[in-house]
Amino acid sequence: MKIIHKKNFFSVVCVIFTILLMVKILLEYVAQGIFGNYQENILTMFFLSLAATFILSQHYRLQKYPLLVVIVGQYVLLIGIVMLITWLSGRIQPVHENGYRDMFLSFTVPYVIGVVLYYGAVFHEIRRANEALQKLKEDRMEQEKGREKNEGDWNQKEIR
Amino acid sequence: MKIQYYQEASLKEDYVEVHFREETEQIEAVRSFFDSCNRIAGKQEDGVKMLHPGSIYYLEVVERKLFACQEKEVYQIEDSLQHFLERFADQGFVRIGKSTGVNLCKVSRIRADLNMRLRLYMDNGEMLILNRTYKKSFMDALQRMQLRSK
Repeated sequence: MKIIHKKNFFSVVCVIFTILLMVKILLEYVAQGIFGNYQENILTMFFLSLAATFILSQHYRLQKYPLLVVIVGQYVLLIGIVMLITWLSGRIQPVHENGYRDMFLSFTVPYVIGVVLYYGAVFHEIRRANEALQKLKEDRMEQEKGREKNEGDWNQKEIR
Repeated sequence: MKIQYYQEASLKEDYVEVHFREETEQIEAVRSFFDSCNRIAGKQEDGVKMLHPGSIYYLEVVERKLFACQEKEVYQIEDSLQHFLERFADQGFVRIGKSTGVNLCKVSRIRADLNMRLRLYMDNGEMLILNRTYKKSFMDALQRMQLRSK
């Protein structure tokens, strides 16, 4: 079993929560025959998360394209899937008149927040890298000064 | 000349100190030997020059040949990019693209463009692109260099 530490703590909580919730929905359906709106919504969200994670995880295949194009392209693909699922579920039971708008907002808002956070994290990383580069240069200069001084001392020193 | 070898597991880095009364041919030979350990042969049309890795700004593979770019001069090196980067990783060399490697110590600053491509501005004014694939290894190498210099 994986050791739980600071870095994976939140993802472990998410995994445990998801497993418990899915088991609960399954048991409710099997044992009590309940499959209502809330179970359907949770399953929809689960499969949407699955599709979104899969599509976003493919970013490494798109390295040759500009990031902005990749982000917009992935968004278009995902919102397409969201709208398709909404339309398909509308074939089984009627969708609320604000259903499409709500689904659009439910997906777009977190996606935009995610993109903003990603851009913020990249800029933060760049700032830290620039600080590290600056520090590296200062340390190198100090080391060189020290080495020059040592060499000077050795040249003057008489070894008996 | 008396030579002594000491094995000390607690050392952070291997080092050699040469103590001498005056510069003799023997001392000169020792000096050139240790100089050559850390130097690589760079070819140009007019001959071969021994290059100090620290003087190289970046490396580039063009038509399967490896070129080392200094501040102004460019030399061809008889080595592969991968092997060179492995050999001199502790001196700050890291891959930034499929056919490019850079000396971290010669990077002046990093900037991102709208497409999140990272641009490396070198001390000699040149600009290189850091491929997103190699961003993590670049940042890791920078962190390692920072820890080493402490």
